[in-house]
Amino acid sequence: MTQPAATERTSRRALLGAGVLGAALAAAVSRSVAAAPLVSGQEAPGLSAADTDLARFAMQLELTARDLYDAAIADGAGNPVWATIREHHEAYATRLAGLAGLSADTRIDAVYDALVGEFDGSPATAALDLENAAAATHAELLGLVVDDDVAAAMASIGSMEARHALVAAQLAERTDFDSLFLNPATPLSPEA
Amino acid sequence: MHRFNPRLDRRQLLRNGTIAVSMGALVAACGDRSGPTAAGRLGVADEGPSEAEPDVNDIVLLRTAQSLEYTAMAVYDAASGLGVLSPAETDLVRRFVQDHERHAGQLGQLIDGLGGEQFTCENPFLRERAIDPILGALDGSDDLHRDVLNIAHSLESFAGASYQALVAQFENLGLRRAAMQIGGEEQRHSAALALAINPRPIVNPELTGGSADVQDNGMDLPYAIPSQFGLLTGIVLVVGPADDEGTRFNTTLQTPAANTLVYEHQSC
Repeated sequence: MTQPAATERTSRRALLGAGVLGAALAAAVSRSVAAAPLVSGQEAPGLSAADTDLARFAMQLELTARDLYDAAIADGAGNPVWATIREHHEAYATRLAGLAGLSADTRIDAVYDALVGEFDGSPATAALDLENAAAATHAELLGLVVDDDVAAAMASIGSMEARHALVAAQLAERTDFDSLFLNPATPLSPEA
Repeated sequence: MHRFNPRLDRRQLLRNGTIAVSMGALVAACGDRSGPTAAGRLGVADEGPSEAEPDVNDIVLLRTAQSLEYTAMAVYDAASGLGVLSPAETDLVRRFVQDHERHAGQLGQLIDGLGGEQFTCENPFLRERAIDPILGALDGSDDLHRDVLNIAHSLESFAGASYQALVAQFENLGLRRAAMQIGGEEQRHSAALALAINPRPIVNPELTGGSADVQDNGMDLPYAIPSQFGLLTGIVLVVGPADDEGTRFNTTLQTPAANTLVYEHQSC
């Protein structure tokens, strides 16, 4: 691996930690929302327009994570744990889409494009950052979403993503307790 | 073959009809089960004031969460005193205790912010109904090290599940975020302990079409990734020595319910 590539990887990784990605994500989400069949402001039966938008945002983040793990597996990431986590993210997207009456078919391309270079055959560090960001985002969304069913789903998903992060940290051979047990990620926000 | 009864005259028909109506009324009366539901009482003394249903509000939920943190700290204190943990495991437990202390402080600040009174001690129901029996069952254990790690793992899993359960109950949405952040750390503790007990496989084989394994005491082997979604089902813990029939003490830790909640009238 060349030094410039390593530098680029580090800077991309830093995007997640610094939360800079939030702005790009917000723009991407705005575009996705506008293009989706169920436009912002429309609501699923029993779900407010605001909750529908929040569920869509979370669903798109989950699909983005799924596709990033797909890229890592295609690049040779052979540990079966990545395939399992990939399946989990797809299931999370399906669950959120079902609650919101959406189709689970739209990832956030801007986020995917920014991170896909990190998800190579050894994705542990990138996975740690992604899972931390996802868990932090669900915690943040829980402070916004009103519907109890969506909230329960997000709590359930966020709980497991915290475990994913711990596993990724172990596979990344992190030994310091802060890396293992704390989540330094800035939550991604559709309103950033 | 049905035959007409020649003895059934008009008067008898009327009488039978009256009986039928009476029976109908009786059956209808028996079918009405909407009578008083209060427990019966003896004597003529005043009933006294009725006890109001305690209010389950955000302060109660936060006090309950704070009590769980103190419960965890107390259990770790007892477990550390047994002297069966390796230096690395002792370091891990020390870190967990620090985290639980921090969580308790964060919850305390949230309680203060709502004008409530902090509950800076163990959950009384859990202590009496779960922790004391669990610690008592360790006497004579054939593998104290295994049991202590399993207790720690179960307790952290229970804490993580409890926060997940509490999140949806908060009226103040901002409290959900705080609870989820703390709950996420408990989940990480649980996953780390699962890896300490069972380094491989990381994922519960049941998630990939296989079968989960059990430990030598019959307790399910823990996995760092035990399920696809965060579960709220009871957490079964098995500890202590086997009796003559090979049975060991076991208990199920359930996420907070009416008995476990720390109401505002309760104090340490």
